[in-house]
Amino acid sequence: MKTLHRLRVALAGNPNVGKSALFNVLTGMYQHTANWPGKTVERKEGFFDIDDVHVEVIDLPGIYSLTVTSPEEEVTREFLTNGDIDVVINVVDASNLFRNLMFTVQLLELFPRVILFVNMLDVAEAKGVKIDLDKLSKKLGIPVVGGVVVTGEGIDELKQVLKDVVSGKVHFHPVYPVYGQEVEILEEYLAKYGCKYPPKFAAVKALEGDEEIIKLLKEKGISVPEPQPQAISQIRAEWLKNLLRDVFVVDDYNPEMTITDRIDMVVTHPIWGYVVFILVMFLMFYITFTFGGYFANLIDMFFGWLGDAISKYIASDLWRSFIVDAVIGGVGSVLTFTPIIFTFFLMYSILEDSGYIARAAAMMDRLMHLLGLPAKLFFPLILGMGCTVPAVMGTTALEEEERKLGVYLVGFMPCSARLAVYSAIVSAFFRGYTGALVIVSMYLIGFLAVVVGAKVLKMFGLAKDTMPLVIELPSYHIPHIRTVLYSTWIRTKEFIYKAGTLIFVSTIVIWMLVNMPFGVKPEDSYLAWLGRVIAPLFAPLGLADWRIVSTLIPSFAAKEAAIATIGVLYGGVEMLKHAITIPQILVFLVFFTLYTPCMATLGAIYSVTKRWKVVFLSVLFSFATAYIFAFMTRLIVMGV
Amino acid sequence: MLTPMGVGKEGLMNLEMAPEGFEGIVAYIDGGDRVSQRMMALGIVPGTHIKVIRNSSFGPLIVDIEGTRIALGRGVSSKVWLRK
Ligand SMILES: Nc1nc2c(ncn2[C@@H]2O[C@H](COP(=O)(O)OP(=O)(O)O)[C@@H](O)[C@H]2O)c(=O)[nH]1
Ligand SMILES: [Mg+2]
Repeated sequence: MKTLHRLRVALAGNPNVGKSALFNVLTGMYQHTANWPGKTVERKEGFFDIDDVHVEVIDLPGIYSLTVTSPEEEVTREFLTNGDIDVVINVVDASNLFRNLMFTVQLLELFPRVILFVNMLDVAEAKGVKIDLDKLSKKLGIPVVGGVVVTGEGIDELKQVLKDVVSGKVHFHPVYPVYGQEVEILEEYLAKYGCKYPPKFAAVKALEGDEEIIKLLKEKGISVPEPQPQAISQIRAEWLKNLLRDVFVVDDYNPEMTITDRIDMVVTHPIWGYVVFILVMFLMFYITFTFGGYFANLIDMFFGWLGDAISKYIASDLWRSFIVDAVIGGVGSVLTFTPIIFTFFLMYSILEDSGYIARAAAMMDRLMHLLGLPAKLFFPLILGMGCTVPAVMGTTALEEEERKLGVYLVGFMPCSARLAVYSAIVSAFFRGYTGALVIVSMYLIGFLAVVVGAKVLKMFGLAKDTMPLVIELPSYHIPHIRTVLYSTWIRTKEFIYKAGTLIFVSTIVIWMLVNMPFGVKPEDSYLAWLGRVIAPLFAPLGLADWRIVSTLIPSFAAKEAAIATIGVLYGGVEMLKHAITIPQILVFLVFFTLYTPCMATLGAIYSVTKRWKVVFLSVLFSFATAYIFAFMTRLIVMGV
Repeated sequence: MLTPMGVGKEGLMNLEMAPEGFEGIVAYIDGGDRVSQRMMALGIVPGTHIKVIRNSSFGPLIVDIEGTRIALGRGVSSKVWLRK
């Protein structure tokens, strides 16, 4: 059948209402993700056909209000104003109708063509809430469809309404609260003089204290009365409560406690809550690195085998090394990360969609707040002790402002590759407890750098002050498997595409540095030359030996490469102690811990932020931090 | 202005001081910054019914607003004033 009509639809609503699940049920495989221009906020688009109607869907970020206080809200507002869309499907949680509709009221003021999809009717029913959808539709003046996305209930009806929109059978006549004289006067004024937003919306937001709109109005020379956000919210809430009065009933039979309440008795308990938290963290860490690590090993072995198999057929030493070590090694190192990232995202999505992440953030808030860190950053930080790459990928769970902070900081947590290097070096220099103490100190220094780094980034305006915790604890849900798998797969794919090139290219560059000119002794390679060039930079740290400085370069490809490089340049790690003193090795370890994690991390940063500027700044920032910490270490262990 | 019980001069209870199980009405929220905007967006609006679910010296501060559970940082919770 030929496609005759095109309909552009946006999904909007609060977080955790089932938008993503609905998006996946509607679009199936036909979707792709990108970022909103200039933002790190995810933008998902997909399409599907209903008979002769071709529907394009955009999944907007979940938000609670249309006053701009975050990039997510900005993106949504901008899109609803200029996004060329025909209709918005506002997904709301039936078990939380009042709070969800507070958003709907604002949405209608900005964009009147709204279909209300009342989702989670099953959860509402379990809570004893009954909703008269027809009455709600009449009272709001817009079409209302009820459903349960995870069982598919209501989807056909929603599609029918979309078809009716195309054929012009649906009418939108939304009703609005009356906010009083001040809003009305401003509204009339705006209607006369024009504004990029609808007059009512702009007038209400101006009085709610929305900075962007107030600025816009002032530029036009329109005087804005003193904002009264509380009064406006109160009017809206009371109007809505009144509207809902005979729309929904809560059964007399009100079960004493919902399942969510029962679970929360333990999960948010001031003592048991922490026990659960530690257990969950441990499981998450363990599964990511054993299950994910198992497949990572298989992939690693496969590429090792492939390299061996191929090397027989290449006569030239140079080409053999290039193909096996650089090309196959490069592809291999991109792919070995994927099982770990996949496993991590899989578990994170499950925890997130089930509602646990919000609880964990609530439990950790006080401690993290004391440290000046966003509550949700604990996740990436803990993961960072396994591998920095999934830790960086994990910052996608943070809001845009906090994500930037996270991306700069997680690399300071010593990853397991760094632990391997510590072990190798420390065992050459120290005996017993002293060695363990040195390793523990590196973890403490890494953590200290996170805390101090956060302060410095805020000082220089590279990150904003973290917003104090104000989050909804959604009801617990059984995650929708398809949605979880999709988002896991899409994020993993994103990593392979975005980070892959960088990891691959850098593997080749580093291979060239180490192996070229081909056949010369290690001390005549380009690597050695580069090491000698940058060695003076490290002289103030007390590290004058070009060989130890050179080891930092291949570690850029992967931290564990330091061991091999030391082996080559010194003729074995054991030999290191004859060339380097104990204070020097301590300074080196501190620098090694904090400077730019590795190329894969930079690739992950690019894949998360999609901005080279952030990648570049993160290299500079970690290098500077490493340098300063190493210099202070030098002052302590070597004196002035 | 504050008495140790967290009761302001107008007889209001500060949320940070409110004991678990306390039920009341949101009277007002201090300040008009991003955080108070966010709290209002989540439903902590003057005139709404609020119940303190958790508020102990260790764990999180959790309230119930019209059936929604919200966790608040300690600092921000002191901006919220409640009436019986
Ligand atoms: N019980 C139930 N759970 C649902 C329903 N719709 C979505 N969920 C679950 O609610 C959680 C949040 O859904 P999601 O689509 O991620 O919400 P979003 O944040 O709005 O994108 C997931 O665990 C879903 O599986 C529903 O109608 N009933
Ligand atoms: Mg979603």
